[in-house]
Amino acid sequence: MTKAATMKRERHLGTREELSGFLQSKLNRNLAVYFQSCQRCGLCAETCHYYLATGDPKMIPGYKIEQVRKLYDRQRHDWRRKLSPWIPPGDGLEEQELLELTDVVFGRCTMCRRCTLTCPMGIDTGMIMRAARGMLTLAHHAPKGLQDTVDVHVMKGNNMGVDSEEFIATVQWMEEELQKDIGDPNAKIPIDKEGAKNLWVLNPREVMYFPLLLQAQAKIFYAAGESYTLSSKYWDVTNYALFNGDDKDATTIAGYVLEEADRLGCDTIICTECGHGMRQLKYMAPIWLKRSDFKVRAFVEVVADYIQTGRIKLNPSINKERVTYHDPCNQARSGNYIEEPRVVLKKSVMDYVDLNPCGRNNFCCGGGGGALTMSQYRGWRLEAAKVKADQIKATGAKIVSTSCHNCIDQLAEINRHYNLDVKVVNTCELTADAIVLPRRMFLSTGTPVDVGEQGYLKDPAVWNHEVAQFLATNEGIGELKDEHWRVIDYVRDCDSRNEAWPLPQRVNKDLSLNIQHLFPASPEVVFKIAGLAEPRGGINWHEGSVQGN
Amino acid sequence: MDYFVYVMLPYITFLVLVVGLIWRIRIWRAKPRAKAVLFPAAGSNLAAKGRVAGDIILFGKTFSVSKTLWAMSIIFHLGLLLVVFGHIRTVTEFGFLWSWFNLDAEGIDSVGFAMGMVAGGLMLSGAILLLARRFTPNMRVLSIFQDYFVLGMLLIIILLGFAMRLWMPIHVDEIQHYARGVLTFQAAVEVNNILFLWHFFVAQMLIMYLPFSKLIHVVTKPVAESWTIR
Amino acid sequence: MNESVTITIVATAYLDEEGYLLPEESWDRNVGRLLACDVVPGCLSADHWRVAEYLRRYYIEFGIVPPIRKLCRDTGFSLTGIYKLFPTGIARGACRVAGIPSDVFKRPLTYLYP
Repeated sequence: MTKAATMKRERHLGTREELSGFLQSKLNRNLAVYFQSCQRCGLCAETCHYYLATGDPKMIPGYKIEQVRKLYDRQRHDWRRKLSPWIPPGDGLEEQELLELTDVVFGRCTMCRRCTLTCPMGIDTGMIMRAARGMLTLAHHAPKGLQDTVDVHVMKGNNMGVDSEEFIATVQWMEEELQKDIGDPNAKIPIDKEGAKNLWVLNPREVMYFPLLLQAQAKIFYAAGESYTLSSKYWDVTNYALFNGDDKDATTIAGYVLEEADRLGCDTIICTECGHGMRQLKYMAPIWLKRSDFKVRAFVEVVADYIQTGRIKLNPSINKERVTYHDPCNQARSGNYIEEPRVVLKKSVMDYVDLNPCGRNNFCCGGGGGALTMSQYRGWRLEAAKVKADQIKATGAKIVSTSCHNCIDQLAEINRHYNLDVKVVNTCELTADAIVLPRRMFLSTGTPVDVGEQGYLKDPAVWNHEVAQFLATNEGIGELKDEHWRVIDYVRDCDSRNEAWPLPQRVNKDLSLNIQHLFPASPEVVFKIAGLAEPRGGINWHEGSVQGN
Repeated sequence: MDYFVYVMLPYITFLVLVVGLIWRIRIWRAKPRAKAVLFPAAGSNLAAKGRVAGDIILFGKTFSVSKTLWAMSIIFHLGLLLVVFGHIRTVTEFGFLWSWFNLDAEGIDSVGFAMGMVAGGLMLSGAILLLARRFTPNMRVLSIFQDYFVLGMLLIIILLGFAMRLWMPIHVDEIQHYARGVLTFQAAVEVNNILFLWHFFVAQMLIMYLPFSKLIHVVTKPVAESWTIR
Repeated sequence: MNESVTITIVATAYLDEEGYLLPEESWDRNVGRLLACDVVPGCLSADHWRVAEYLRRYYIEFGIVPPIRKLCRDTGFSLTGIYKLFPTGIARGACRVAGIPSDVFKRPLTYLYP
């Protein structure tokens, strides 16, 4: 039935000696210290979403660490084994035992490292899990979904096997959509532009199924006038070899992006909203590739920078609903991006609330560590996500935003599974919606009409009904109805008589309407749509009448 | 037995502890340290170090997650600290302390007795609580032999210490004389007290066990913490 | 003259926990209508069917969900048009109605282009 050609990649199957050797090679100073200093105090239980959701003692991080430590203990064949009669015989590398270990290190841990924060001994569970995962990958025990992702990535240059033509076609399509959206036929999404300052790398899921995200980010770049480029060859930010523990594949995959950065002469890599992609490029790639002559920035960091330096202007009244932000583990805990997303969201939305706990202490969504690709552990994954679901419910937010594509998918699944009835969106979408562009429209006669950054007409003389409708759409009002027109005519009347601009109360009284209902964002919108000239020094609402010009 | 425990074992214990620690640390130092940045936040600034120091003294991380475990461990470790401090008296008198309070010989002994009972009581209750916690259903799954073993040994030492105080007291001068003998390599079988013998024996076993067990956290805690500094 | 017509759909569908059809062969339009209950507001129009049946044809032929660009090009809808038809999107809306099993687009795919 299916013609999907499953490309086979020959991978070496480790022998027992190699598995044992791999474990030893991974036993660095940190791991050795961690294994001996774990007190099994059980403090980590209270921090692990798997344990909190299930109450199963086998979900306690300390227990998972103990399984790996025991494996190391069992590798010993010297006198120390004889002194420890409680260690079971054998080297723990029997098929059955490996299967059990797979369930522990792949199925019950998302490597979110929340337990590391509160561990009194500072034990990094993620590092221990990665060592065990690497061994299981060598033994061909890594879950198929995860391993397939890595294999495809190594072979085809991106983890979904999207080929170059398809990618370019999608980007060009999005370029056209972007041009329509912002009304500038010269807007471009550059591909392979040599000498650009930044290389922008994407998640293939955006290209395949969520191209609107691509458009949203391109819109932000456009508004900020950023110099950037995409690469047509290797453009995938993800690296699932971070999660299956295979350092060789991880190096290859990270090398792809760096290769393109070199080819195009970009010194900075801007990652799309992807948590682990940012982390692997920023913190792991310098170690794997032994080079540090490049800079990596997360998308939220870039946007926060634009906002703080005034390169983009935002109008939060577009996003009225209550928004909360889920901190992706790889960004907040492992990447220290805690302030940036809050800067972005507080400027992009009207009503922002934090989850509790948030920031560095935030709970994992449950889909980290490649968990989304391992379909056999779906039950545990969703069960553990109950913690997140409760957290979201407690905020009463209508929109959950996050800046990690992996978290988005998991949150969307939680949303359905636990009937949260929220909207799950990327942070960049909210920002892109709220962005205020100096706009230009073309009337049906072909005359251009420019709108200023605040939404007022640059030249009030060109106003007509068509322009008004355009301005209304610009403010998110939609089609203007009779009531709207009555208000607009009334305001224009006042203006043409050179009177002060009327206060909303007066309009309500004179026309017996409710201006709040018609123009919910702000009564100021009326003045904009009515085509009045932009007031110098803003509007003062408090003096009984509105001082416009 | 007496000869072994009183004359030979103290030196063996000392050697095992020191050589064990050195061996342990050499093995660790021979391994490369993970290069990955654990938490790239604050780096190694003074505030972060201060936080780690504060955590070592007050167990702040434990407090932030579980108040009960924090209470248990702080009682236990505080008791341990006082007990260790009190045992200095087996070697030397705190002359300055006694002169502060103007105590005569009788007073010194009664104050020492009271303080010892308080410290031992703290440690005993802490150890019992921690051991009892090991027997809750979830902790039973998590615990391994070593966890019970170490706590059991500690309990035996504490209980023997108490028993000795109550039923077969030895005067501190006797111990001091013996301890000085040990320190000047002139150890001899001087004390004839079966409870003291066992108390002394198990305590030395525990000290020897330190480099090879989870008790090493005394050493690794600051080290591992400094790796995840933030 | 207004007549009110009540249409009763008689169809049985077995779904997985996420609401995707199992097994996928049991799909027909009635099952599609049933599956559409909680992803499409109101009745399914001819446009809905065009998208859903295109997805289904493509899936049966190639074993994958087409990239959204291909879908738009071949069915003639704009991106916003698609989202208007299926507010929950392709993967969580249209694919469910088309009876495509969930793991097809959930995990990254290995595929060749036709």
